[in-house]
Amino acid sequence: MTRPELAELYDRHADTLFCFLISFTNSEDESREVLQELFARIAKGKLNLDRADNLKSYLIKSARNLAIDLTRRRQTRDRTAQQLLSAPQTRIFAEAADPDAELFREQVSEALASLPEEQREVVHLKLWSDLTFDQIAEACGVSLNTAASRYRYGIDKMRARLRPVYEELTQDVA
Amino acid sequence: MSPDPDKPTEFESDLAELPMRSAPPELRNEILRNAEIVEPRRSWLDPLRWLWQAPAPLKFGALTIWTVALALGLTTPAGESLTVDLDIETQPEKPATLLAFNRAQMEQLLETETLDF
Repeated sequence: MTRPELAELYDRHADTLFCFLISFTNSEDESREVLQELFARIAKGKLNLDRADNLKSYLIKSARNLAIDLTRRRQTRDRTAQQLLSAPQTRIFAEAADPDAELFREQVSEALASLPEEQREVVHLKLWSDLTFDQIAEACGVSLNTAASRYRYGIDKMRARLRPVYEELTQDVA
Repeated sequence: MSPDPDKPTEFESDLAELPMRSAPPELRNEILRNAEIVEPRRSWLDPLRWLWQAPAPLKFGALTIWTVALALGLTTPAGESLTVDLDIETQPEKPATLLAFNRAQMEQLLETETLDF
């Protein structure tokens, strides 16, 4: 792969991957690290992109695996202490000029971050990475039914948590 | 009529429409600057890999060609020792003679020769 090809690949997929990684790891620093590692591997030809049926879901799956490896490597006492001291960096949406809209986005980010990991990743991939349940199941290494039920559980929890602010926002718009 | 369970609700559609943030611009420069571009190594297995990923008709064609080539290879002059012309009509005594000669020669070899490994 040439450098312009790598740049093109980055421009096409980096935002999607970065936001997914933030949701998955609950950490912007780890997301940066994983993204660096992912593209370093692509540049070295360690990932066979030609064999991917769907490039986006293949990249997400690879990024997810790298994030899991990184988390395992870092499961030390130091990391646990560091996590307790620092709040999770979970912002995945663009900033809004309107304060109410901005508040809603913050609350959606928080609601998503509060979900268990397996529900969080599925909800994120379905809503914001635009993957089908088939692709999500493949990326997460679970069955189609599991992916769909995790999504349902996750979205129900988010709906319950966000109901007051969502209803207020939609009433204002109406 | 019951609602389609796969159809996103208004709540889900509203969430999906929220614009995502971008990856930090400095990260792009860092990643592209540090990327060590390595051309994939060429290997003698590449044609096999290519064939493995090829559509089924191409695989079938390649397999046919390979089988025919193998069959031809076994019957070319290089494989002469495998094909003995046993023309029974014109030389009815030859097979028996040939067999007898080979047997006698083999017995002699086994008695007199030692194989040096």
